[in-house]
Amino acid sequence: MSVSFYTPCATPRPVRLSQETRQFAWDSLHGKYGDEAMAHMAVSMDSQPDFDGLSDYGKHDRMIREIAEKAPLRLCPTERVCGAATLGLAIHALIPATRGGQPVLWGINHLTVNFFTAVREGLDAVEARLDGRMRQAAGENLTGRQQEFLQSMKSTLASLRIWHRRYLEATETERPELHRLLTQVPFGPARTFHEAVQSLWFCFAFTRLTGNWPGLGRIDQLLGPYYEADLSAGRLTRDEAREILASFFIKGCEWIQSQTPPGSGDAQHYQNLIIGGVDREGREVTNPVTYLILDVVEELAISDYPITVRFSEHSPEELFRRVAEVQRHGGGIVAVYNEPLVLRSLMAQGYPEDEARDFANDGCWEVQIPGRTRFSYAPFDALQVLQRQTLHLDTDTPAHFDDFESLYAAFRKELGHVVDDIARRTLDGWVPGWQEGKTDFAPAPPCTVVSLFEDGCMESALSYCEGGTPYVVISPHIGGAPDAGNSLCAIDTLVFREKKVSFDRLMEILRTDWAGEETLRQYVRHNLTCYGNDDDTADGYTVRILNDFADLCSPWATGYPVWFPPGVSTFGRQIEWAPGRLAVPFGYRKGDILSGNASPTPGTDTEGATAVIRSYCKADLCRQTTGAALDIRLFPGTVDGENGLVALEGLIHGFLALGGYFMQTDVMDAQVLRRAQENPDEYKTLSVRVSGWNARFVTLNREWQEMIIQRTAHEM
Amino acid sequence: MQNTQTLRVTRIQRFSTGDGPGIRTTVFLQGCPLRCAWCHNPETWDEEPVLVWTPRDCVGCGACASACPTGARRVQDDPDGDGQLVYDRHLCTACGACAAVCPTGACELSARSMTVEDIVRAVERDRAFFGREGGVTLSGGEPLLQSAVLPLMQALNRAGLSVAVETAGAVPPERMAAAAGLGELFLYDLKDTDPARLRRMTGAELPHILDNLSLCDRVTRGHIRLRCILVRTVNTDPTHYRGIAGVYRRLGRCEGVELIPYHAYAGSKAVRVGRPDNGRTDWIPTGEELAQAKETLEACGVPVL
Repeated sequence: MSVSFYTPCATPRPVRLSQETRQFAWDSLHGKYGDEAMAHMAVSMDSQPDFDGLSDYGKHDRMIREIAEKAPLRLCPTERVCGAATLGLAIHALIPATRGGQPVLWGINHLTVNFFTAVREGLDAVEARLDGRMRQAAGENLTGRQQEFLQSMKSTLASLRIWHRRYLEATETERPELHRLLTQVPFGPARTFHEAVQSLWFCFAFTRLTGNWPGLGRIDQLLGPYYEADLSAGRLTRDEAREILASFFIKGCEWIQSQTPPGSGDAQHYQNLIIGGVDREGREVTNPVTYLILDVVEELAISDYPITVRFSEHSPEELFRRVAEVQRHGGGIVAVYNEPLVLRSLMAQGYPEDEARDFANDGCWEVQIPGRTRFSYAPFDALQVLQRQTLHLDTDTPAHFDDFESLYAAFRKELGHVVDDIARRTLDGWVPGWQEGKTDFAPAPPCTVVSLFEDGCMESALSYCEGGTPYVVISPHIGGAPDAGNSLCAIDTLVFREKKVSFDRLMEILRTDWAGEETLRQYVRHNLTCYGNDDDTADGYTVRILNDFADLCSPWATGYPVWFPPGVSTFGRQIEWAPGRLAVPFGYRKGDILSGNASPTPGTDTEGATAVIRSYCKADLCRQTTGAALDIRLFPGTVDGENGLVALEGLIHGFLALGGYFMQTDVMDAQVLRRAQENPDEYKTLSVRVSGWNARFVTLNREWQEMIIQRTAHEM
Repeated sequence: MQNTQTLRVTRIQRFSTGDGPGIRTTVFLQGCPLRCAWCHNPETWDEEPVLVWTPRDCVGCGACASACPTGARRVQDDPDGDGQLVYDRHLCTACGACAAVCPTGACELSARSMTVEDIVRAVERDRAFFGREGGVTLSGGEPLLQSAVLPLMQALNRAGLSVAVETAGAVPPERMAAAAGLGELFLYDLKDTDPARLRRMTGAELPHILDNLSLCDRVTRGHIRLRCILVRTVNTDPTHYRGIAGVYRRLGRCEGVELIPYHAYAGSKAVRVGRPDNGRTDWIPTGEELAQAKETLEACGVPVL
């Protein structure tokens, strides 16, 4: 039986991989392995009578060991690399070991770890360094907790070795070619492309198995030299390399289930890959592996590794073309960074140039230095800051302002309170003595597996969550900025410029959800130009909010043990925020789903994708250090044929030239999405870009599906 | 020097990917000498703007009736004595008074006046996206009908913007000759090669169209693409395809033919400018007919783009 993978594009997906590999992908994408995992949710700690009396590290280490010893092994008949995250609780971000039926610890996510040192040098070398560190610790004044942490690293490596040994035994007679790989990696250094992919996958799979969802970062940079050495030595062909890489991708979607309960979508395990861009010395990284990665996603429509390409005007022409060719198949799998702008932004934040050049992200698009950053973000809704804190529309006595500038000043002040609050609350919780200049982090739940793959943790004997990494970042994330901007624009226009309605009357109209004011509402909807139409006046309000937000974050940028660089996102929160929002003065009612990320409010942009990009680029996005995402939706007909590819390339070039930060482009047809709602079984592999992640459309619940359908789609 | 000559522009559409190579901004101009039965843009026929009336967007506020100087829009009692908003197109002078007060855009003028300078500035906005291939496309209506199109093309050339023209060729030869020297690409409509049928369905004279085409071919330093609409049961016949091939062979700068299948979606637009609905699903060519057209043309050595 031949298998095919969905595309909205008239041009079919290419077929380059073997039939067995394509079938393997089809099985994985249809939930075969995810269902297996859900049949084994976790290992149980109930048979260990002393468990409850152990310290948190004691419990953690026992759990990791139990998982390594007891997790089901999986060998798929056609896989080219082995190891599998086979316990269901890990799919829910928990360490899959229970006590009395209850999970004990969360895993870690929103980070890109450094597996690359382990792949290049081998885990034996990591362990040797750890042993040295522990010997050295004897002469230091480490706290008990630091000693426990180093012990936990040792124990975690031992557990990984147990899991590795089980796979060695399982493959010995059944899969000798996999067995050969495992005799070398991950404990020894990878010597070939195949070993490197196996080593990377094995470290990643163990990290996932233990409930963590790391991003992987720049795997083309890691794998390219292995590929080129093998190719010139005649050990490998391009087709073989593609098959091996395909296994890595197919196994990356082993958590897909056949019947995912509807929600915000599956496939959001933050396992982002970054390809292209410059290395620490400023040389272009793009290499044949970059293109092999694109080959695989183009053919198999695998969206579980969201890919972001670091572009500049110096990127190879071929890279623009290949990215366009993959993008037109939809799924939003491949997004783009404006590399020079991101680098400028990171250096302005205070990162040294060579480290900045390493940048990857946390799994969506929030930029970080991989393997060196503890990262999280703190989202808030700028529209509610305007509606509730500033205008008091949720009370019987809304605020009154006599002119626009006093209104804006009040809003800006409230925005400042939100930022200050995020910074103070974080520091109070994480660094209790920060106001007295102390820098020690408060104890946090153990997270040794990711700490093993983070620079700085071993040296400092501090875990990822206790300040062990060189950088600790909490990014305040502004959401709903375009909605707040459009609201301010509407108030300024209707009340202060056109004087169509008084300030107090407009507040009353908003409190009563436009009841009895249909003519005015229609007037606003048809005559008010909103953000996203490349109208300098209309865009100005949103731009001002974003730039002021960056100003308000700057006092907190780097002076404390935690950095607070700004960013822009909603990640779909426009859905959960909707009930807390009121009617908006630009004509939408309470409950309507408004803008996502830095994108225009659905239905307010009429000038096409280029106008949207121009509006978005008017803010100084360089100052949104952890990122500002723009979602572009295109209809399949727009990107058809040679000219469609030229158009997609043109959008990327314009985005770079105008100063964009991060752009995710999806190709979708609303009619097809409607059909998928009606017949979900026929559209199991149809992926869409949700926000920083992709998901099978049918695994989204109705609200999320509607949000995707209503999003701005730019035809012609 | 400011160029203050004006043109009547029905629409400026950015991010066009079907009107010539690359990303383009398409400028639609008011006015067309042809009356194609299948026309998609009937609001552009008259030289002057017309009123486009979209009842579905009307909220019945009556602002238009108060503003109308001729009584074309008025409130009239129906037999039950209820006020009904009526629109009498015969009395309408398309002065735009109603459009200026309509809160919803239900009343709109089909075109607005823009200076050459304004248009160039509007097109400039997307320069970052045009790259080597994209640029501006002048369309309509018949874009070469308004005389100010020539200074517009000159200004666009001066700004370094690539100019494509979507023309049906039914313009005076002097205009065609001048435009041919200013455009980089001509998307030249060849709606039919049967003279009687062409006259019946569009009002155009085939010799005039073909003379201008060959004039364009001689003068331009750019390229020509023939655009051939396929309307089922009207011109989906092999004789026409061979006719197209004959025309193609006589041209020196023609890259090939774009086949444009008829779509039925024009219907409601005609009604909105007071004309009978011309949307006909039986005119939509089948996939096989399209394939046959392509095959016949290619067999005659014509590249189908």
